[in-house]
Amino acid sequence: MEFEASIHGDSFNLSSAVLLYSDSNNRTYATKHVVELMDGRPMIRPGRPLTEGDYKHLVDGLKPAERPTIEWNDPKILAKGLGRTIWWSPPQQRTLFFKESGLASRSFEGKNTCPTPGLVFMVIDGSMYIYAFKGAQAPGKTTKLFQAPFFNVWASGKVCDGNAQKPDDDQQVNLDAWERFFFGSNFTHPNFSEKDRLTKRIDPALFWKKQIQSPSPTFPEKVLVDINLTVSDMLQIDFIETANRITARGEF
Amino acid sequence: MFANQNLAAAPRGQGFCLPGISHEIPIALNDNHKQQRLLARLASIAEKNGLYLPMGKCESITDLLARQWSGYVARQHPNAVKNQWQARPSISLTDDHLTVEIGAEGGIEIYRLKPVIEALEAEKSGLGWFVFSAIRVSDSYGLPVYLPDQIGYQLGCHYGYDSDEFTDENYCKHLMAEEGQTSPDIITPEMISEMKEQYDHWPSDLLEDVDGHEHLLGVGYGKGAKHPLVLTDKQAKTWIASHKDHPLATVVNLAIEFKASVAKPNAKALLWDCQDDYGEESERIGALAIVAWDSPDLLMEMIQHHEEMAYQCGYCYEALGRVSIDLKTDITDAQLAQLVKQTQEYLKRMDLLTELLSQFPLWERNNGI
Repeated sequence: MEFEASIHGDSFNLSSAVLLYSDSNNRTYATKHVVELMDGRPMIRPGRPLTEGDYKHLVDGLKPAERPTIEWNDPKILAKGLGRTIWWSPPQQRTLFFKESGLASRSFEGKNTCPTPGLVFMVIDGSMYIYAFKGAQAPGKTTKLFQAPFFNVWASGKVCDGNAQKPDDDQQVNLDAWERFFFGSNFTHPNFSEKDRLTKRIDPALFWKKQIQSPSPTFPEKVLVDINLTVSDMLQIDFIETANRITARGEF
Repeated sequence: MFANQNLAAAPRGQGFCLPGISHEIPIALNDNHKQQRLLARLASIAEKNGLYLPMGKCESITDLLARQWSGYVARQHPNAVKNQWQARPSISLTDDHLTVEIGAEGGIEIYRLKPVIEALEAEKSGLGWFVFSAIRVSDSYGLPVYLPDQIGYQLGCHYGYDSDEFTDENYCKHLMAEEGQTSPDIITPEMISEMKEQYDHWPSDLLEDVDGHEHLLGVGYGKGAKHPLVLTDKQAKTWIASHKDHPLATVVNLAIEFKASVAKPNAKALLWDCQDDYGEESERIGALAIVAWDSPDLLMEMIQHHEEMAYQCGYCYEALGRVSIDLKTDITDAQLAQLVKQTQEYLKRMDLLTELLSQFPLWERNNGI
């Protein structure tokens, strides 16, 4: 009969390193590297840029159990933190500009004040994301999000900047400036061709042509396309990776 | 946050130069040093209690401890090899507990009581059952042995039959009640025959399997139950005094010694109530050996049922005994010394019990469990 002996306990082994590169303006770039033991000595191996997923794991692993991550704000700003600002606007009439483009066969010329659905916006690292929601009440965390039914928006909800002028650095937290940036620029083309994906049961170009010619009193929410997201998803640290996985056929 | 642009090219066309890591940076953060010191203290205290430190190179403190204790068993208990101790002892240290556990193994030996007990009873009434009584108490001291009373226990589990009166008539009444029938006052042989077509394990069959020794099955303690005469320790010693050269003196002596060993203080130190480190109760399964009256077939069937049921109930430990020291407070040398002593005493009792069992003939089997 042989005895066995063992130790079982928490052990944190050196596994990876995050290297920070900074410039004179305090802009920082991060890379993640595996650390391997070579002849019993740790060695930083070549790495790769830190991803949102890496950042999520890092923060999740380091944060105290009860530490709040994002504060909930009311009424227009829904949440702010982790480099992002999320806000909403109720259904309302907005002036929309459409412009023909030689690159898009379905583009057209026109402008009018048209109804728009309730919208949720997010700005992160100078990029804008936009989603629609149904109803007029302020969205909560469980509010379902729909594809923003506008041209120049990717299936992920990210706005295609084109040659539109984004708010200056000192205007990054100016929510009106961001909304003006989006609605003040020209809509030229849907960013993907998949049927029933930007607007349900109607071609988006036809839908907006009709709206320009004869705007409906309120936005017809039946055309909104469910993309299986809620406001709560936008609060997740890896939301950008989640959003980027949402695609549509014919994206360009 | 981090920027989205690509990493700039290395200056002046040079490649990246990854920084080294200072040798002062630890490659692991844990309490291993503290844990290793504790196990080193245990090894040192064990040495003072007769467990010599192993010779040669040890790769780790756990390796040293394992070899120290294995060496002790080999030196101190040579019968362990002869009697094929089927157990898996271990010393484990977690952040919360230092534990000595005697794990259970499969493929355990099957012994037959009948030839020895009948021979002893023929020599002196009550002597055979005295020896059996020594084996029977082992379970209460963290040295479980599967005995025929497992049959009665499983009968209760399977059929809910737990009656003082262990007869076919009473069993038939019980089964009828279980089926929702109103059982008559008088059970006829025809009724029993009818029920026998549906149910197994009838009392008369089970009793026949143990030659009518009802008490072996752990059932039938009611009025009229047969209680065999069992000699006292003193009476057994008296018999030994006058039969020193008797061929059966050894088995009686071992039974006396084993009973004396479990009468010592702390003899139940490794008796485990099967609560895990978090206070959750579980089933414990496993034994040092199977001890049948004669044919072990029915007993083995019941043991299999017992172990399957335990597994199906959720957590179950394959262990014979276990003792733990809570590490919430600093552990003292006296506590470590006590742990060593308790384990040594347990091994002594295991030695005596397995030597006692080795006096019984083995069942020639084709398959173990």
